[in-house]
Amino acid sequence: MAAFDLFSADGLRLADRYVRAFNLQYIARDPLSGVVDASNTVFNSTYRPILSSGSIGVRLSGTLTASSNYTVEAEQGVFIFSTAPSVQPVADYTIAAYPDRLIRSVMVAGFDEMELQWFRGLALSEAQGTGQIVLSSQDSNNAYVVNSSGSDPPIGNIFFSTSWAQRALYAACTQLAFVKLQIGEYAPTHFIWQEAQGLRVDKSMTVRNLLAFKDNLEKSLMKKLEQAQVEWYGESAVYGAFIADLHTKEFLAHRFWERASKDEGWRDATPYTGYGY
Amino acid sequence: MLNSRDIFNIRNDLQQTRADYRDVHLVHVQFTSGSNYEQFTDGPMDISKDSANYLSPVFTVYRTRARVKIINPITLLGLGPVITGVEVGDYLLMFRTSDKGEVDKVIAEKRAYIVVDRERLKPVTTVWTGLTQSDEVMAHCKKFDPEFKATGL
Repeated sequence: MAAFDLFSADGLRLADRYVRAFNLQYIARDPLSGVVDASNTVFNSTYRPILSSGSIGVRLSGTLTASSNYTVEAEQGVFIFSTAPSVQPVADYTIAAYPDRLIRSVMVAGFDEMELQWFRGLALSEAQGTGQIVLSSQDSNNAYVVNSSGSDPPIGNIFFSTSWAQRALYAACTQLAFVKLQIGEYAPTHFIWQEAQGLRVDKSMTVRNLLAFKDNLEKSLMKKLEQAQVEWYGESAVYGAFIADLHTKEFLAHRFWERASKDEGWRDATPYTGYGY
Repeated sequence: MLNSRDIFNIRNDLQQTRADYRDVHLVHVQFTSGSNYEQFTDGPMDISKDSANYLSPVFTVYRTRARVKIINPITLLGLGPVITGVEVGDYLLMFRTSDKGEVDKVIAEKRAYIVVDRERLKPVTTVWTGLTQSDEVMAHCKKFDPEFKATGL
């Protein structure tokens, strides 16, 4: 069984379902901003970052121009034309909320979060089924979820890659990791600022809202964790099982005395040695 | 103290706020003359000829997004002594920096105008503004009734 690859289309779709890290939006006929004087070649898009893997089309007077006539700096949303246009160019493109590299980084962080919530000794490997683990990072081409022997972790009759519960747990952990990342990222920069007698932008609630969201996520994660653990350990581990409280020293001493008393029949064997006997 | 990263974020905020506002059309008028055009009199060569197209306007439209602030008595009070000559009914349009050249062209051209919410405006001045006086361009616009109007604009 092929191990689950986080960086595959399937993995990215799974993460996007929870994280909306892509948040793809198609922008049609966006008028590019720049001076139209037949000598300026640099034009800016209204929205960015542009998804470099998405299809990009530029129109001049309504006619699609060949992609060889311009280059695109996707992250900055800049179109550079080889010949300066004499009419305002309009562009069709797709924007993503984050660049590809950051999305992968969040996915690796999500895996770390899953292992920190419930340590199973799983790893992200660039290869699978070779008997060894080559640790993945956001720069790797693949990130397979493998066990210590470098293959798809078996769970009863199925595998991690085919288990809906395990994948959902991973996705929820990715969501949590993403929110944590946002809190850290926004905390120093999301403040209130105001121009003198002008525009006022108040982002002071962003981090507080995210913190409340994180608390809710952590609660719902517990439910998913339970489901995944039932699947992992088997249902027999659930029925009749209980987790004992931590014993105090006094409790243990008393318990030991109680057990020993029963086993050795102290009640019958020990003579009463009180006053008067 | 703001660092360069903050200024980058604020610039992004400004751009996003602008993107939430509405389309602004910058209309330029150019004239093409037909065979009946006489340059010296700026009129038709043969006035009896049943042809009105001795001189016809061609409109070029540049579309962009700007934040719009309409001056009413209240905003005029709060504005402070920043913009000279601003009066009630004027528009302040905040453009992105890359649009400055196009806005300046509208000021320079006699018959060019700006359309916001079906109001025709003529920019008077452009001023660099924003946090570091370099984040955006504010155009002070007055109501304008152009001689040649593009259809629908």
